[in-house]
Amino acid sequence: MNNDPNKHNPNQPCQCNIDRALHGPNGFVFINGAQKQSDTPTGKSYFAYNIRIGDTETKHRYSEFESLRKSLVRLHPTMIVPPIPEKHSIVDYAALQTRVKDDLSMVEKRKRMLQTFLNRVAKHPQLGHDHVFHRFLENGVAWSDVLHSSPLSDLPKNPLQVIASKQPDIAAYEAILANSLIPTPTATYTLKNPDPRFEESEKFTYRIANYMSNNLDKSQRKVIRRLGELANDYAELGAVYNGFSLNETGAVANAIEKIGQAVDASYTETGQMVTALEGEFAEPIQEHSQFAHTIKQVLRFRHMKHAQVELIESSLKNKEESLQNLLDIEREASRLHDAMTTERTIGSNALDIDQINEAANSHTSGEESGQEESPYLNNDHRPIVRRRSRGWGGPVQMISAVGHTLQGLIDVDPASTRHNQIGKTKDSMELLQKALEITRKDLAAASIEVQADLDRFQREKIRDLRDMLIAYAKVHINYCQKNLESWEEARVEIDKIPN
Amino acid sequence: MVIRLVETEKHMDSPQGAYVAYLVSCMTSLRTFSSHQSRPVWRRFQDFVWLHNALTLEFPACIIPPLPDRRRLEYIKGDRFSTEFIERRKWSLQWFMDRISKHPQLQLSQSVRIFLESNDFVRMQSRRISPAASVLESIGGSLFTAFTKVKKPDERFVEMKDNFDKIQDNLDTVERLYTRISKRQHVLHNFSLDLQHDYAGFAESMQGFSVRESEIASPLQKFSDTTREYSMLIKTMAKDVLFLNEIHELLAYCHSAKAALRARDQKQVEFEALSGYLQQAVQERERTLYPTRYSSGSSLNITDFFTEKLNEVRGIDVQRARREKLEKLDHKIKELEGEVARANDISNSFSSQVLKESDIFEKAKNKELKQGLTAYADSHIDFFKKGAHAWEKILPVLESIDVGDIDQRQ
Repeated sequence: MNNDPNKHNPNQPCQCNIDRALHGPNGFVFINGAQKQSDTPTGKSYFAYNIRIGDTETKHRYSEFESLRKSLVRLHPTMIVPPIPEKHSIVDYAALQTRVKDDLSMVEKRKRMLQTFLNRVAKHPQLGHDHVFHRFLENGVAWSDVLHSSPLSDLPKNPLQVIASKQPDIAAYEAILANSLIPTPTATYTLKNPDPRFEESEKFTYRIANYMSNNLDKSQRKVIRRLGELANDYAELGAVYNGFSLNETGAVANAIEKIGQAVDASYTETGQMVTALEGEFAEPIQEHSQFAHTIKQVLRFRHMKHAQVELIESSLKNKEESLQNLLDIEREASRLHDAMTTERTIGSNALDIDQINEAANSHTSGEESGQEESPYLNNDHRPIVRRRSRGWGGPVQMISAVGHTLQGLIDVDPASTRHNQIGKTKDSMELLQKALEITRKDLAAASIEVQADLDRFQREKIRDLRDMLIAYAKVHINYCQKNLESWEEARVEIDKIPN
Repeated sequence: MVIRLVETEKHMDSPQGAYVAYLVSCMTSLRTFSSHQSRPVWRRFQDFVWLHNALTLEFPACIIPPLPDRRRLEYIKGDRFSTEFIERRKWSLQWFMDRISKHPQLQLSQSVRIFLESNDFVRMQSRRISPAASVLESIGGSLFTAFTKVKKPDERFVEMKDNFDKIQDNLDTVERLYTRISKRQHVLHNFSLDLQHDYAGFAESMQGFSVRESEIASPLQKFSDTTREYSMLIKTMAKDVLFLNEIHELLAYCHSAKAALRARDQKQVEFEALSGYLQQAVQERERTLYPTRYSSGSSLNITDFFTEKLNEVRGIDVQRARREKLEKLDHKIKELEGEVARANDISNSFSSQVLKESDIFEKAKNKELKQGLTAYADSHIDFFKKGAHAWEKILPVLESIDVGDIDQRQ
């Protein structure tokens, strides 16, 4: 495992040349071009985006970016992975103010937003050092190769079986969690002892995610769209004034011509304002809207980890109870056995061992009649899906009533069965105990990481918001100043008209 | 001469029905007036109408400035006492008085003096100023409609006609352009109001956002306020686009000018028709005097011939009939000669007056245009100044947002 250069210890940075480039003085990732390429087998065309970091250049298409992001999410479920522009968004078309609704404007927008994505990842304290990310930026590396090699190929399917936090000997831990004995919570599990801080974060995040998509994003888009339409109106008005000036002479003609120019300037300036607002405000708002949804998912992941811990605790407790019961029966049985052997009576006083066993067994079975199925002691170790909406409920016995009666019927030697059961239960408990330790440690570490990334993100968000708002103000200041100039020029000409 | 409509007053409970009165004051150095600054008088809309009609009759060759539309929608809807309607009407009437006061002939008119000074206006109104009577009514003038083209233009008429054609073209173009601008401005006006709504909606969203992002609630709140302020500025500018109204006024004036041109054309037509009539009469006299000279060809001959034959049959004294006819014709010719001379004078003076008028109109148009364009430019300048200022104010607030310790790149 240590020979594979791609499977590095996540605790130690890979020190590859990309890593050095990203964290050196010229660490900005550029997407400096896009070419239309043809997928020869299918005949469909797509765009490949040129990526440059330091001296390295490579190309990737949109779907590979998507795949990269998915991989990062799987590798770092406690991290807030930056968003990429959405696929085939009708909203993108609606937001574009140019009438040229073709590939070109979509490609430009994607170029911008994908570049932002790569740089956000690069700046992230953990994600920036991810070697999979580095391989994406490397020249001559096919993305499919990356997908089929470590660490991506080693990832367990179930994200809850991934050790989220940085631990030594992850493989062994993951093996334990992969054991079917270990329960997995359903999506609707409610925590018995939720963490109040994360509860608060979850509530806040849900609210803000909705608000941003449904309210803020929509309203700011309306302004930009309307400005675009206004620009066209100005163009038409400017043409009318120009025609007007041709019909006049002297000072009046000059004045009207200047007004026509001022109106034309409004057309140009409004168009530029739209483009600037798109890039510096609308797109970041879109990104942050997506960020909110990502945070929801990260919090959800931590929530499920917590649920898993609680479930394992429950299982362990239940196993303990079962074990206790079995041990009690054992004691009972051996007491009886001793009693019988000391008395050596065969006769009317003789007790029927079988009857006693049956009685003892039916005592156990009586307690559990009407109970739910044992979730994990079945002979073929199939993982069982529970259908109860409540999750774990009351005490669960080891053996179902039916199974037990059958066993009682066919069992020649209930004692040895019991011994087996005790053994198995002890083994399960050991496994569960180990898993509990692992998941508790993992939950603690994951919670710290999630909280740290939330805090880090909060700072990033504030900085982004500040930049966006400043950009909005500056765009408007610039717009007003430029227009003011041309109208003041027009005013000078108007004054020249004789009284 | 400066005329101002200074005040308006609503009279809701007068015996003749509710009406609005306007206080008109005048300052002038003209000697036709009794004093430099006469007492302001109250006039109502129908008084302005009287003035307009009086001037039209007194100065048929002049372009009388137009009155505001009587049949505006609000009037029909019964909303003619709303502040907005009254404001707009006052504004149009002000234009009316301004144009009159600047017109070299109209400002000297007796009607204007009566309008501005008379304290017993109602009695004065009944005095009819006699119009230049239309000669044609006595001859049966239905022949001469305004659509009759000028026939057989003379040398000197051709040159005049070119002049007037140019003036007409110019007016047409101006009308067309003004209409286009008016339409576009209207569209832009509505659009600006929509934009204002959108900005206001965005301001609301930011306000809600500030409640949720409590760490930067204050700057977000201020940003929201700035956005709202900006939206209000847009609203003000949209309303201030008064150029819309001024174009409307200029258009109306333009129509009056075109009407004057048509009137001139009509005078020309009348003159030509009278000339033609006169010529016919002269020819008839000639024929009557010397019947044999015109025995070849014309259909008139045959009629006369038959009339004479009929008279012979009837036993009427042909000679006496001829003498009587000649007398009548002589009389008619004399009359016509007088009328033709007069029509010629009228037509000529009309033409020269209209030429002067179009000059006056051009000057007035340019002046009004200047006024309108100035106001138009000013409202834009105002908006952009205030807009820049609003956003400049918020910039330092935003720049001072604390971003804390930014994570250093590892």
